[in-house]
Amino acid sequence: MVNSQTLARTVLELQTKPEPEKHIEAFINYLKENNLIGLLPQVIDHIGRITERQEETQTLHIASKHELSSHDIQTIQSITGASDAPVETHINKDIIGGFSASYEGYLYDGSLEHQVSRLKDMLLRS
Amino acid sequence: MNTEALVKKLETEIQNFQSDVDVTEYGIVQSIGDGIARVSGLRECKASEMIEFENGTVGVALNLEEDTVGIIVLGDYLSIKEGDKAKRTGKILSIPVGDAIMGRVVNPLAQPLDGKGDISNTQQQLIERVAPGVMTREPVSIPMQTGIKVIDALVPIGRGQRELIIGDRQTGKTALAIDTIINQKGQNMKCVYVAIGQKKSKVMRLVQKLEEAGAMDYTTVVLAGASDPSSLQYIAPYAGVAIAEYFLDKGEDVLVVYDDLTKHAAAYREISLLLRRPPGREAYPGDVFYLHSRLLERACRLNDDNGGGSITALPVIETQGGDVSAYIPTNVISITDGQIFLEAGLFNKGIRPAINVGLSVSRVGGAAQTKAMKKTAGPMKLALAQYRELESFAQFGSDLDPQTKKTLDHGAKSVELLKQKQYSPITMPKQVASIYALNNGLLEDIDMADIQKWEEGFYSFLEASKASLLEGIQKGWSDDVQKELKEAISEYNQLFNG
Repeated sequence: MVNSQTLARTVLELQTKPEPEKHIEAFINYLKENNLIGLLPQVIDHIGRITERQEETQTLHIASKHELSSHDIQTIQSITGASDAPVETHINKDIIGGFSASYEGYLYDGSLEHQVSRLKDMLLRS
Repeated sequence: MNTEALVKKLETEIQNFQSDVDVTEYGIVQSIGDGIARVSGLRECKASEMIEFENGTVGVALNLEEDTVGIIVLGDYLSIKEGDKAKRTGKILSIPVGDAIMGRVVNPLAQPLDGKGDISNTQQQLIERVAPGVMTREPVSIPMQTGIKVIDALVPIGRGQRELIIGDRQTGKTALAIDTIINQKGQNMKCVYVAIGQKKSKVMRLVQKLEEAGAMDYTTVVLAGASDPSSLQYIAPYAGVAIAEYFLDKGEDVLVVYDDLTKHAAAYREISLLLRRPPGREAYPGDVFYLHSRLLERACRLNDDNGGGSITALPVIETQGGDVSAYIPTNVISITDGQIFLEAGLFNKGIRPAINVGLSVSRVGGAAQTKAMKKTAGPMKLALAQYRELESFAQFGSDLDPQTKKTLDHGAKSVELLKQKQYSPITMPKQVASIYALNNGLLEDIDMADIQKWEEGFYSFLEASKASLLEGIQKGWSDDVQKELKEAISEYNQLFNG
């Protein structure tokens, strides 16, 4: 059975095709013909949520103990490959040193805790 | 290495250390409920990979779909919410194992449940592992003594065999398995008891019994109770066999009891339906056969080039109304190397263990029987088969000819002699001695009501005054041993009747 989440994904997919208006019109007609027009408010809700999440993942989020300098941010942008992405910085007192960042479905852990744990593993191995 | 050199080495290592950024893929929880999470993202996720949620709970990726990954949560799923991050660990589901796991009660993730503190396990063992290939195996030829007369004599089990224990509820399936574990004391065998979907109170009583019998020294109990999520019940037998494989790799012999696979199949059905996999017969998914075949195929006996260890599997199946032709029972019967069928009717008649000898079979165990047992058990099988055939005539009483009466009397005494109390395993030489007495007509003067009394006294007599004879039976089955045994039985009979 078609649910509102699937319909929302379909709309977003149609939007990327050439002449999106035509496709969206056909989509609305499909909803009317199949008595699914009642699902439209939920579809719009889902579209909002999916777009929000997409924007979220396409933003470079950086967490650190202290405010970072623009040079530090640029370095992290180059590490994560997010040179052109919007950046949001957060202060996290739990991070002793270094940073942690997330961008496009990947977490980048450059925290001191992670470095110490790597060093410990390396020393135990040797 | 002296302290100075150690410090120098550490300094060099630290100087050479290069800081690095750890990159992990993560996804977003789209939906969560009934222990199943659907996570978007995770494009590189592998099947059976461990996924870590924000609250620290671990899950396993079971369904890899186009946009989402279906994950079974192994633990508390109530604090996971939509929109949470779930990150890949890059590790296929594994548990920590080591020698320290012996004597402990653990959950399927090898976390202790017995309150005896942390377990210092040494290595990670994959929960799912491909079973050993043909060229690494050896035929079953060493006996796995259960200490239960009827099994060791008529349905023998060898090390590396898979023998199914099947029967209705309350027929003594678990009791058989526990007795077998107790009898492994001093037999150079490690044991793993996997309790799936059972009441925790019942399992704790069993653990207590094992402790009392001194069996916990060589036993690990893996517990996924009835109140645990079905995801934990699903991985429990695989965790059990992973622990067994750790010891197998060290060349040791291991016995694994899966109690029971009916509940395991039901847990897997629940997971599959929640993952929206297509249901098949009785709503089980299509791969329910593979679920058990891949588990039981890991039971094996390896050849000497591969360590020479073995895993003997005793899966348990609960039937409904004695119906062995139901879906899961027939599947497991076809996978295993034989079955021990327990019957409610026999149990209620007081014949315990309530094993139906006619329907029970061991396909490979015969090759693992000792010579003494093979020679003595053969005539008994025949006597029991004749008894079963003539049993219906028993009601005619005095109208029967003397030969038939004799056969019936002998059969009834065989059944009586095969009765055995719970938690009282009997060594092989004693079993052989008592069965030998029956086969050779040396119990003809003993009343049916006195058979068990005779048996108990006979074992004490052998232990007290015929220890060398018991050793002789253990070593072989020569004419001298038989002669000595016959004399011992006559001597004891005189004492008993006198």
